[in-house]
Amino acid sequence: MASDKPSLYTAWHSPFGWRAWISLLEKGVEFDYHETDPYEKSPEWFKISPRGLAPCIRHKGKSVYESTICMEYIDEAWPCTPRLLPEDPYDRAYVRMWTDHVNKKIIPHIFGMIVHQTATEQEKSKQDALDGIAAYLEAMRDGGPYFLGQNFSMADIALGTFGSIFFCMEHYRGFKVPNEAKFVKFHDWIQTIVARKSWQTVLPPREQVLEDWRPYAEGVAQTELAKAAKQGKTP
Amino acid sequence: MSDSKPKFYTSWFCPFAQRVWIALLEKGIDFEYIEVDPYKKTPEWLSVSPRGLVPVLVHQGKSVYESGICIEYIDEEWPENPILPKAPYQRAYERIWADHIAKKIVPPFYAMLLKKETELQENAKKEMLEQLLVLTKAMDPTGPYFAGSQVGLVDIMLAPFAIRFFILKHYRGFQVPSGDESPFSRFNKWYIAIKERDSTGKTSASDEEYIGIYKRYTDDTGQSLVATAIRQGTALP
Repeated sequence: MASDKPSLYTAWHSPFGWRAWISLLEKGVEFDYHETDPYEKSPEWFKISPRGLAPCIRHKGKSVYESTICMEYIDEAWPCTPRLLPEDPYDRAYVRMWTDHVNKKIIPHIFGMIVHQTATEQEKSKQDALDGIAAYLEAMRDGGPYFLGQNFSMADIALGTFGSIFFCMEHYRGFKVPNEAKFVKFHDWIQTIVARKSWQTVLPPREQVLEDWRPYAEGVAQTELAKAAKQGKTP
Repeated sequence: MSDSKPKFYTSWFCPFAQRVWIALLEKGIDFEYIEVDPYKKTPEWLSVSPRGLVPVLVHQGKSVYESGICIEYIDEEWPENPILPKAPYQRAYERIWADHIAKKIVPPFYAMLLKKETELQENAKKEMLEQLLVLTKAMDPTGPYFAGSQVGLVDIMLAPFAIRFFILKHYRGFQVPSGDESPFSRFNKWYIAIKERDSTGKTSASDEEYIGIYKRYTDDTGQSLVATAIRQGTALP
């Protein structure tokens, strides 16, 4: 009989994976964690995740993949608090639009600044990332500390997973979100986010994160992620 | 209440906007149609559409953009004649295949038109057929629509591109194989059903108008963000 207890297939180092992992933790759902290397393209893996993507959730004999789709699925399959999307249709659209913004206008540049090997390209990625972050901060509602104001949501998870490892981008590329003017909100926001129990559970030690990103920073990573990132796409 | 009637900002030729137009018609929603030229990035337009793109839905003074997000908004704000199913897994399944369309079908559509080198055009054709086949295999076996007897999100996301395939044939000789024995026979059954729907007919321009408007892609004068992204090999906006 297909199990009601979900399984999460993910890689320890993946901020995309943390989105699904954090969502399950926030909901207090019991799940089985399966450490996965999505680059190991075995037939067994494609049976679990048809496009070979991680994170992937197996639940009741079905597979859900794509980190953003996983977050919505988790919110709908376990509609307990915290709700990852609010009730009101416009507010739901707002969370989706700004999650889409994170995915299209921030994350590709975070990867870009690491995988590009020339200073010019790196500087452009850094500026593009800051522009994307500035827009997200401007869209943040008043009242704080979360994106929607008082309520935590998928929009916090979307950026907060990558935001929690910005020290890595600083280490390799000198990337910093300024602590002034339009960026001031970022620092209070990320501190609140990272202090959540779910973030503390998933975040690996600093040294491991830095080591994990080293091949990308040094231009020797051959993964699909590296190739896609060089083109400004993320899979 | 006048501000409860949504304003739909669109351009007649845009397949992304056509998705939202189809959704509005399928739901029977009363809306105001506003034609815009998205290439004229005026301050007024950017205040309605921060990214300067169509489609945008403005309802009760607030803007919703991105075609998939507009459709989900429409579905949630006006719950009659649902576009997405109720069960969480079925909803995720629709979203997964809508994402497949965005990432694997839309890019080769544009690449086929925009790339100048024949080899790259041929690669795009190959890619398009491969990814269409993957999508076809995910369809409900009976159909005729993607998920079964009711039109849903995936149908609406794919329809505008499918009805433009004749443009790919006209400029690039691209064709989805036909015939009952073809692995695409299920796709072709889907296509016939979707083409027959009122919402498809009412939101489509004439063949001549489409052939004309897409010429600028093929002679490399296209200035859209989509055209630029394809030329640069970066992600679509």
